[in-house]
Amino acid sequence: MTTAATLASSPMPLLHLQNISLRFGGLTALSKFSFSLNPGELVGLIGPNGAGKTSAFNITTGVYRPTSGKILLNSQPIAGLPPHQINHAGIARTFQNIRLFASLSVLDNVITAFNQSAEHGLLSTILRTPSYIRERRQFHGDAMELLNTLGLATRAKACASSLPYGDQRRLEIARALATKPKILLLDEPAAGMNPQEKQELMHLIRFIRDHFGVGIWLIEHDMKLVMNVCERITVLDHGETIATGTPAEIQCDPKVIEAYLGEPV
Amino acid sequence: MADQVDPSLASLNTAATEAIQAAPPSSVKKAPVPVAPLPKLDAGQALRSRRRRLPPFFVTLFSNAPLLLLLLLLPAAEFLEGYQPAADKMSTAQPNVDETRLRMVMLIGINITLAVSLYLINGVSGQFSLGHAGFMAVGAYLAGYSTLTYSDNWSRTPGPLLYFLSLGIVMAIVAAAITVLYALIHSTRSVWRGLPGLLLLVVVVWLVVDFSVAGKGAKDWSMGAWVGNKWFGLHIPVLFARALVWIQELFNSIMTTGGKPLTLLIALIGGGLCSAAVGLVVGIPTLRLRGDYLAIATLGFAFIITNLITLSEPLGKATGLSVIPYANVAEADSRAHYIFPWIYGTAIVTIFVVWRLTHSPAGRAILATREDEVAASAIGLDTTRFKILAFVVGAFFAGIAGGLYAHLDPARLDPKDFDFTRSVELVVMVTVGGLTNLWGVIIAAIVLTFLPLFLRDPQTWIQFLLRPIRGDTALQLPAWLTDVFKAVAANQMVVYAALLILIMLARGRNYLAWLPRKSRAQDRA
Repeated sequence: MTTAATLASSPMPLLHLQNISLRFGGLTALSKFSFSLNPGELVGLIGPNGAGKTSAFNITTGVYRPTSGKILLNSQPIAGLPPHQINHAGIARTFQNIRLFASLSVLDNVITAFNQSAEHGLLSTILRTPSYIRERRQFHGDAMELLNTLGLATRAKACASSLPYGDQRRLEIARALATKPKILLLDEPAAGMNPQEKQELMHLIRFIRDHFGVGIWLIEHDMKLVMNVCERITVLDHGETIATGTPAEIQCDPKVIEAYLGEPV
Repeated sequence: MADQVDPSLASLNTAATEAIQAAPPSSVKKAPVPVAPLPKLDAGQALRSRRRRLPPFFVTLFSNAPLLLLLLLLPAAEFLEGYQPAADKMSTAQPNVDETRLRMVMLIGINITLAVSLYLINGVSGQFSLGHAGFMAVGAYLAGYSTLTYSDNWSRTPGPLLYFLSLGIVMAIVAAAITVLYALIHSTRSVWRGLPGLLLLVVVVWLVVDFSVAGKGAKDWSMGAWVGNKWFGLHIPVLFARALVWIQELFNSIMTTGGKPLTLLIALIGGGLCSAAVGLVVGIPTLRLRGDYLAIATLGFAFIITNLITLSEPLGKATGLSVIPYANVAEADSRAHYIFPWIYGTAIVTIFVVWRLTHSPAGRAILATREDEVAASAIGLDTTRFKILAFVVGAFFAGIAGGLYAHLDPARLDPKDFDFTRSVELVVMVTVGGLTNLWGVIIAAIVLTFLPLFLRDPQTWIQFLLRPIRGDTALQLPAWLTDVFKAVAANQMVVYAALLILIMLARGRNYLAWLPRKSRAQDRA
């Protein structure tokens, strides 16, 4: 298992956003946003509502095409690719409002994510050829293993929408991890959680980073969680980057405090 | 700065500063406090190998064995063949129930195939298509045309085969030409961004003008007339067939012995494949649309298909194709009996394929695309590809059902059989059946095919259905009931519509609760 320390020392950042701007007509959602993430790093993105945090995620994962700027993953440009190809390149994400496949079972939610590596064709699916059976067992085993790692194995057969809220968040993370990403983007994973669940989530995030060796980029409103978990933090306000640095630096930054409470009268 | 601040805001400010600083920096909080220890990692391995599993080869063998049960359909057809309808004994039968009954049994089978294939599109993949009759028409006309023109009354198997082969070659050439055209247009994007749009506009305007000219009768030079009468009417395929005559020599020796079943099989599969190809061509642009927009686009496609058929000379224009084989074989009953195993075999194979597809990882991907397209693409699923997959497989089976329909009716294949109402009929079946419930869709296909016929003459049907219990004694109904039946028959469409409304209202009461649980789990969309 690769640890964060060895990976972080590599010279080139894994993900590099250069001067990204995004405009919707007259509205500027992001302007000249730059960001980099090293392998195995845990970086936070915070800012008041409407600051452009989720827009940054949507651009990175291909939901939006940036108006200008470059995105490099392993020095390869990925801006403008469709979302599924960006996922194949190694970026997975979760959503602010949980987006599970509600009517599918927990297990199927994860198996669906393996589909991109499926090798069997339509005919062997219908005839259930031995290669198809083998591959399906492989998917099933891998999915159970992943669910077990995230503590969801006992609920594998349940309908995804029947899970409690915290488990749904975890399942969404499991589904994202099933695509074997190099980078995991978490969009407000602690939203709507109680303190106990938040505490568990904190451990989970660190555990995922260490166990899967992925770089994690995190949007979160809960300061306690962000300050505890992240190694670096970027602060956005009105689409502009107003501060970057370690949690300790961010906490003392007057601009950040101002951004969270509005300008003094 | 602080002294300019409103006091309430200032207190808020300090509160926020405290809140942010209350959280210790991460360097302090390195020692992990295990709150909920995560389970052991090797437990997954244990789960994986807990059960002894059958080797995959045997799984394949056993799971495909039920397909052999299809052969049971043949004795069933034999049984029907030997059964003599007692038309003379049923003196009260007006109209002749036996003829209606046979046709209904066949139509039910065809409608099951159509409804299940539409279920794959509208229910499983969640794309609302109103163009299913269009796919059916493609299959019906191409299969019917090939057997009518090239099979010499089933005696020449290579005829339809060569026809579809040459049609395939033509389609491949057209597809290659379109791809090259697309690549050329696409590459001009680097020269000037507006050029592709302009080129497409020119092509569209040209086609519209051309088709309107073709409608006025200037047939010699119009591209539209050429497509409608020559190419769509399949004169070029004949040209190819001549060129490929040596293949015919080869196939002749193998296939003339195949006779009727093999010829029919080739015609059906050929029609289905053509329908699937049309589905691909229609699906690639239209499946980018959503909801109502897709419904309108597919509806437009169905109109285009029926219009092309009405324009095409070899396909019989508005009068349709007549004297498709089977009319010449024997009297009505044995014709219908012969096609019985084909119709129900197709229905079973369709259900089988659709069921397996939905219960495979690929099917889960189609379901996932329906549930949440954004999330599906975020986990690396090419959502367009899966939507097109469902669309093309659905179109394939609709085409085969159309081919069966073409050979069912000896009299005439009418373009009006494939109009808007046919599509709506199928959408109603899928919706009444619960949209995502395969068994419900099958039941709805059976009931909704039977219902209009039943309402046309309830008394005779009841008498017929009670015959195994009561024998042939005439049914004595109270006068008021007979009057009710007469009223129902007189207002059958009103009653039918009212029943549909009642069924949809009853849906809220979970009237499908007795169906298998697993399919109901998907019902909650």
